[in-house]
Amino acid sequence: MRYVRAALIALVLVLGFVAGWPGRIPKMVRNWPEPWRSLALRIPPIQGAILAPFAPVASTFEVYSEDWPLFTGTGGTRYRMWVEGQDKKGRYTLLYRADDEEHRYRAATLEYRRVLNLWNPHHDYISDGYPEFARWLARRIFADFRRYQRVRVRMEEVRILPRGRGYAPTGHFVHEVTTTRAEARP
Amino acid sequence: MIERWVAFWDRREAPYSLALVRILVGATLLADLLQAELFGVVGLLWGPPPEGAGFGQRVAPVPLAMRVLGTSTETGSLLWAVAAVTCLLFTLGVAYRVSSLLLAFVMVELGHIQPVNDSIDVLLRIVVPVLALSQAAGAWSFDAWYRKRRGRPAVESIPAWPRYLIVLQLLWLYISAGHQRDAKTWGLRGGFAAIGNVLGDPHFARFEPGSLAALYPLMCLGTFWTMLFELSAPLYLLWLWLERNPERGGRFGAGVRRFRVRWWWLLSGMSLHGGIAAGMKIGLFPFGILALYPAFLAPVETLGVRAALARWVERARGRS
Repeated sequence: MRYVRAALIALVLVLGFVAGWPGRIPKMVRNWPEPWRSLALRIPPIQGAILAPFAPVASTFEVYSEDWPLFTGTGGTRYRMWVEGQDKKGRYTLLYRADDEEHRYRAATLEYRRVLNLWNPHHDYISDGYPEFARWLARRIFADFRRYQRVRVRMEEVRILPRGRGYAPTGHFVHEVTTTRAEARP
Repeated sequence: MIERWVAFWDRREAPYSLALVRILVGATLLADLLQAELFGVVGLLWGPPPEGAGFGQRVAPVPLAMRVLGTSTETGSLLWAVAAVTCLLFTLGVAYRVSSLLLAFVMVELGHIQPVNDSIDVLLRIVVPVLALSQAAGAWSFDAWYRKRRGRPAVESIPAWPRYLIVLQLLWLYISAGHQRDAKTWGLRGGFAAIGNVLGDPHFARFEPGSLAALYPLMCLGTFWTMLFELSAPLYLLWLWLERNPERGGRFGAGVRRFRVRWWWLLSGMSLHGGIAAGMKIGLFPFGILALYPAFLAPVETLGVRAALARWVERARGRS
């Protein structure tokens, strides 16, 4: 039993090490000189081949990698979410905006990390669940405010300023989802 | 060589460090789960469209609960409820083997169903099964209390390998994160601007972005320190080895022991995660990581820290 356990632990450590080879390798080695760049680019296929027999176990445990790219890049273009309700006259009212003390509709809920993960864009990527999130939020808003006929959720691109001076809004919006009262009904 | 490897993973120790990891991990995870209910988002996170954003985003493998109970908001709510209850039992160490395995299973099911998993979800899905295989309820638990009440001897020692694995997991997380950081903001080339940038992100900044600009040099120092801390993670094993072997390492080893390098590294990690929790709105991540920190301590050190904290509280009470 002792030997089996020690062997299993060794296997787990080796697989963990292989699974931990960075998925960002192509990006990381972009500026490396040859032949190092070509050599490094051979790693991902080898990694896949080694891990393939164990993939069913890993996916059963919903653990796909030992690669931890945490806060790899900061700065540049970021986003600021706006949530607005539109009344019958077509006027939009701002209900929630990230980093806005005046507009805090359901802020604690929206900023709860599991919900934030649904709507916070990561570079160009946004969660597959974002449209459902926007619809869910619209349902809440329609339930809370009878005057609104339409809810708009969108992300304003902002530019992070140097030397910790915050960010500058660009006025350019992306990931816009508009939901009418009729569309929000389950 | 093989014999030494087997003997290493066969070591035993008192249960206190793993018990503390169990309590902290369980408490932080429970708080996170309860927030989902408090904010009324259980259906959003674990319910299917059109009511929620769960299920359907990734269909393979189909979660067991989905196959047995069907794809519905009720299934998601039931899983959440089972997770909350088992998490409470796990924290208290009640019927530990069953509750911990059930918690590990439910966390995987919830992970399958929820639309986005962040790094702390993945980390805890790795750690909880390891804890489930440990005897982390050997102390400071209902099971230990009940055992004593029935007149059975207390658990004196438990296998140490789960604690070692958690330590290696944390070290690897730091190594992996440190090596992938973009030099344009985390390195000298970018003027160590990363933390200043993060504190300017409207989705994450806890304080008004730009309001701390006067402290920018400290932010750069923090960025540099973060990189130093993470990239030096492999050295933790060296600091630990030198501490455990007072006769080894010569003058270098003596210096490491004298200046308590290992403890300074751990304090750096705690301050890093404390700083993240204070400056950013990212929820469970820093608390979930800190919950694992007792794994870095040998049981006797855990007891020592506990005694020191008790003395500190006693003195504070005396002063007041």
